[in-house]
Amino acid sequence: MPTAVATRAGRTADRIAVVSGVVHAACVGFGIFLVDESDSAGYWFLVAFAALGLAATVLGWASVRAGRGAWVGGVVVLGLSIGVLAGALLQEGGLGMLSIAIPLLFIDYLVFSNAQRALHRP
Amino acid sequence: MGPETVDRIMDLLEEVDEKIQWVTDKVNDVLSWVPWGLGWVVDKFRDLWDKAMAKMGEFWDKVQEIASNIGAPWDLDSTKDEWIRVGGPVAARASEADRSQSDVDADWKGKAADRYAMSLGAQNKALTAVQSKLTSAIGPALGSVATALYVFYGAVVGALVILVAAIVTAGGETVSIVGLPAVPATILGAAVAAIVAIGAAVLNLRGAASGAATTFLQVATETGEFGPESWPSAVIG
Repeated sequence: MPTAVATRAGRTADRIAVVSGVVHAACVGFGIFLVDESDSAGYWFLVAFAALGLAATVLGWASVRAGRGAWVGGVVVLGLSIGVLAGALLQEGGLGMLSIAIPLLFIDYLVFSNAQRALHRP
Repeated sequence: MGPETVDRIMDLLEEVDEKIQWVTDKVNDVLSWVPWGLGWVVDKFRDLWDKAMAKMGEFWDKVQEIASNIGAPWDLDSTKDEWIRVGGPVAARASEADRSQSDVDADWKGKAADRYAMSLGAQNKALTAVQSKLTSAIGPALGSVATALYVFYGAVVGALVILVAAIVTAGGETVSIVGLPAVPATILGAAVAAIVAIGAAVLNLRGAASGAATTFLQVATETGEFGPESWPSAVIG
């Protein structure tokens, strides 16, 4: 992959990771708000999903400098978060949690795809 | 979360609009550098780009509909709280509508006292039912719609954020002709994810609203404990 594209991907991964970090953190807060607002413990699944997504984002972002190990670790954590999401779907309000999870998963995809392209820097 | 969320959604809508224009200009700039003889590449790219923009149009239609019919979960929440506040004190009066708790036998004798004491049971039942049948049903029903509306707002904000993020990523991809084919795919992916997210939120909200509507209908038709026969005629006129 040409260096310019890989470098640019690294910079894009940095930027998207910031957006992703803010969005995941906001979602953790939003989940806690929903637990309080609805008195439904099911929304803790959303909190756990977003917290794991935040950890995955940090690993994805760090992988641009730290290398493939961090990237793989991030993907594993992301897989765990998807497991938590599957549990959330069985709860009351599961469809609502899915509607919030989809944008988060897409941002995660952007972080990891850009980080991967940056990892291919010659 | 409150009315400022609506302003935030409007700001994000404007931002997405500006960013789409920005990435379109960048794409056109890169396309103007495509060497002669690679027209077919440009055509293929334009096909994908048109698809991405068509999906964006679909998304905008949904968002415009939402923006013109924005609900207020915070108002539902305060109404729910008011209903719950009504239940406690009214139910507390129920214990007073009980012959053993009343002074009717100590201070009042005769036929009128007996007739009044006989009506206490129905009054007790009606007062108890205000909490058990009315407020305990209406409060949670309003609460579930409010929660679904909050979730809906969360999904709309999330959908707009991913569009901005996708456009920023697409901006990075337009750095060269090599990265260009990924641009429409990224935007198309974001538009599809945004539409699916909003669709799921709409289904969730629809489910909560129809559940609440059923509850309200049940409460409205269930007059058993609240019928005129439960109250002394002096109370209902």
